[in-house]
Amino acid sequence: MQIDIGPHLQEEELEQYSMGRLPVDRITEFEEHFLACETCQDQLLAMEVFVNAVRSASPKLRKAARSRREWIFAWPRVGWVAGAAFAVTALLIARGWTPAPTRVPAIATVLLQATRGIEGLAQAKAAASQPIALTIDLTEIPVASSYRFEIVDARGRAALDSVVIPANGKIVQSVTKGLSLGRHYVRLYGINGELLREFSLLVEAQR
Amino acid sequence: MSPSLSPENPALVAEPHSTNSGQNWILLVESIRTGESGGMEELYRVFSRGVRYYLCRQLGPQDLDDKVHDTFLIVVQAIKKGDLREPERLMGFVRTVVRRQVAAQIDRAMQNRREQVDMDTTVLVSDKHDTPEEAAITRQHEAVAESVLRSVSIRDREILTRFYLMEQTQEEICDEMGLSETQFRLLKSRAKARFGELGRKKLARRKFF
Repeated sequence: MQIDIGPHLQEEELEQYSMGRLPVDRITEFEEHFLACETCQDQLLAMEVFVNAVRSASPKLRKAARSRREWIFAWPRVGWVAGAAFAVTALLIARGWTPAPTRVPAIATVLLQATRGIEGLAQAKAAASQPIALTIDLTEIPVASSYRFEIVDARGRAALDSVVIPANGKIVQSVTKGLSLGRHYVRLYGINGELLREFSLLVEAQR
Repeated sequence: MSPSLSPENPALVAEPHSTNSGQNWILLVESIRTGESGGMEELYRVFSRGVRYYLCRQLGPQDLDDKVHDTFLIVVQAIKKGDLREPERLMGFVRTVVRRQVAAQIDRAMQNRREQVDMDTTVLVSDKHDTPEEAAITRQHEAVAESVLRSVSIRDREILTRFYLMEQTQEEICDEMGLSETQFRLLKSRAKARFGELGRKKLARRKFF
C-alpha cells in the first residue's frame, strides 16, 4: 500500500538539478517529490557523484592533453626537424639504402724481440688504439706453466697486467683496445716475479 | 523505496497510484493532529531520508541530526496547532519548512560570522577540507571518472567535458560539434553506465582484499 507521490523524476531533470540548471518553475514540483521518494534520492545521489567526479577528473585530462598539444606547437622547429628527419629516413629505407657495415679494425700482430744495445734497430711498433696481439718467442726463456705479462707507458703507469699461458713455444697476449700514443714497455715476469724480458714498443698514430 | 502507509493503521492506507492521493495526505495529517503515534512514525519514515539528504546537500553534515529533528518538530507542531490549512499539500509544506530551515541556518551563520569577527577573527576558522574518509571516497570517484574518460575517444571526452565542466548547453554542444540530440544522449548515458560499472567493479574487487 503506497501513497501516490507522483511519477518519478526524469534523468534529465535529475541531471539539471544536480548541476543547478533545473528551470525555476520546475524546482518546486521536483523537490516535493524528491523529499518523499527514496528511488529518486538514490538516482540523484548517483548523478551527483558522477557529475562531481567528471568535473574533477576532466580538468586533469584536458590539462594533460593541452600540454601535449602546446609542446608540439610551441616548438615548431623541433617538430619540423623531427618530421624532416623521419621523412628522409623513410625515403632512404624505401630506396633500399642500408648503412655501411661498421668496420671492425683488424688485429695487428706485433712480434716482440729482445734488443740489446742498439735501440731502434729492431723496434716493435703498433698503431694507436688498434687491437694488437703481442707475441713473444720463448726461446732462451726459462720454461714455466705461466707468466706474468705487464705493459707500462713511458711514465711507468700500467696499461695491462695479466697472467698468460704459453702455447707452442710462444706467448700471445691480445690488447683489444690497443694502446695510447707513445713509448710503452712490455715486461714478462716468471712465476717467482723475476723479470725475464723487457721489450720496447712504440705506439704511433694511425696512418 | 516509495513511501507506504503503515498497515497497522488501516485508516491511513491508500491504494497505489490513487487519483485521490491528496486524500492520503489528509488522513496522515489528521492522524498526527490527533496524536496517533502511527501518524508520527509514518511522517518520519516518509520524509526523514529526503529531509536529511536535502539539508546535508545544502548545509553539510554538521549537526545534521539536530537539524532534521528541528524540521520535524516544526512540521508536527504546525500540524497539531492546525496551521497547515491545506493538508493535501503536506509535501509542499514539508519542503517549505526545510527551505526555511536552510535559510535560517545560513542567516545564523552570517550573523555569527559578523558578530564573532569583531571579537576574534580566529574563532570561526574551520577546516573546510574533507575528512580522511570523504577524501578517500572522492579520490576513488575521481579515479573511476578518469578511467571512464580515458576509455572514451578524445571527441567523446570533449563532449562530456563541455557539458559537465564548462556547462555548455546540449544545443550549443550539438551545434558546435555537429551532433544529433540522440548521439549526445547516447554518449552521456554510455559514460554514466561505464562509470557505474567501473565503480562497482572497483568496490567488488576491494572486498576480496
